[in-house]
Amino acid sequence: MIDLVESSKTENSNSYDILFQSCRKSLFLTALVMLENRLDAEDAVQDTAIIAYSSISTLKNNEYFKTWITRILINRCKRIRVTRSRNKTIELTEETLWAEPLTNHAIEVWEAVNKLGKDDKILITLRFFNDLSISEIAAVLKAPIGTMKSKLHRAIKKLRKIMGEEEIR
Amino acid sequence: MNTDELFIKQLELSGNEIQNKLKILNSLSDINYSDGYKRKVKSQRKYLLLTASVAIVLTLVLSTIVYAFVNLVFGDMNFDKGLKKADEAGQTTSLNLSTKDKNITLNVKGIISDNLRTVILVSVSGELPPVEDEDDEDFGPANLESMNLRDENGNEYQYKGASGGYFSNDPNKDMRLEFEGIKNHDVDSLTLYIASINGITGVWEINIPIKVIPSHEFYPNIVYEENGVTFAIDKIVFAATDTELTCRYGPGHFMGFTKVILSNSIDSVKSNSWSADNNAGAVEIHFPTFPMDRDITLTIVVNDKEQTTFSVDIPASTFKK
Repeated sequence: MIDLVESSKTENSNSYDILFQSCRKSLFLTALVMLENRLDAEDAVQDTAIIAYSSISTLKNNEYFKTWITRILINRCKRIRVTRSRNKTIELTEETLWAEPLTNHAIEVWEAVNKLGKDDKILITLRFFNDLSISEIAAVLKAPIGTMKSKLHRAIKKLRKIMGEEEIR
Repeated sequence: MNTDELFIKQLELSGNEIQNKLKILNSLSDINYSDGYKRKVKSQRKYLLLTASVAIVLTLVLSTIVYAFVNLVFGDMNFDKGLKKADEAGQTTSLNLSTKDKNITLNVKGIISDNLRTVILVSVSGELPPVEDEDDEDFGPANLESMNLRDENGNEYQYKGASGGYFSNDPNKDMRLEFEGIKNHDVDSLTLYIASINGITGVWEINIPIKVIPSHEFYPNIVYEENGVTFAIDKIVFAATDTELTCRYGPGHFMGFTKVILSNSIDSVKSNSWSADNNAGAVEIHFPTFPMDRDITLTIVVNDKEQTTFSVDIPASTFKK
């Protein structure tokens, strides 16, 4: 990935294309969870792709590409959330989101994540849908690692409660 | 592995699955990074997406209607995932049979049978007095007496329970009668007999054609021992409507499970129920239908507060014997 970032900086749009394709799914998921609307999420990802392409030369450390582009996306989503005219839709639970049917547990997880508050939802999405480490999440959200750790712990606990995992069955 | 670790592991698996199965539309595969082009593509995309969304919604509505009215015999069965899965797989049989006595008609609308259970979908219409004690509905069918189910060879199948409440005059109000499973796959007809409905005595006897769905039984002989506790898996049955594990434990009393999970590399299911026989040191654990095409792990949480959890691996080779 580091090589791809480097060659993208030299205006090689093919390299950037490959680089972006490697993370578009996780970006799209994050945008979906944040915006709860497929059209807005696609706009956010498309905008992010263009912003990142035009400013990749400013990225100082190539290793941080994933956290850097995730941060761009989150800022973009926040902006869309403020300015958008579209209403939220219920399409997030539709099967049209998935190329293949999800397993029962994955459906439970997806539905439970979407019931979380917006901060918890982002943390869970970045950690479990985007595979970011705690320190990467801390970098994306510009917060101390310790704070992120305890917030993530609390978010997992809430998710577990929503999924009924703490109840005796 | 404690329950927290297990939950996080499952979360990671589901997170990967969600990411892998997410559908990416072409609009995100083909981005031109010049601003002017972007605006043009975006406006075209909006119309395309609007058209696609209308088509998707129409397809969903139509497929839901078709799905509900054509495919599913037992209807909304979210609370019985095994039966729901079998229904969705087309393993249930839709029927339109009825028998009438004392101006009360018993309708048989559907059936499914495998080694573990036989479920019959029935309803009643006609001059039906209200049930005397509606509070008994959870234990139903309080209003059905002297009911039995026999096959053509005279073998009787034990009644196990009913769901769907009590009978009313509404022919659309269904009740599911559940009996023990049929191990003889040659059985091709059953007779359901009911002697009393809501206190009205009569004879409601109906012959029901049946195709028993074969199940797969395995005897893995897997023994797990830790801290002086022995847990053995003697038998696993993979049936159309359920997966059943017959296990032994010891020494002493039943450990009192808090949660039991069956998982493989791609999915996991929670147990529906378990029943223990302390005298025999045996426990039967029921799960929704689960595939037997790969390694399975049985995870049991014995005491949630102390987080006593143990996992038993059942290799896929067990299911090839």
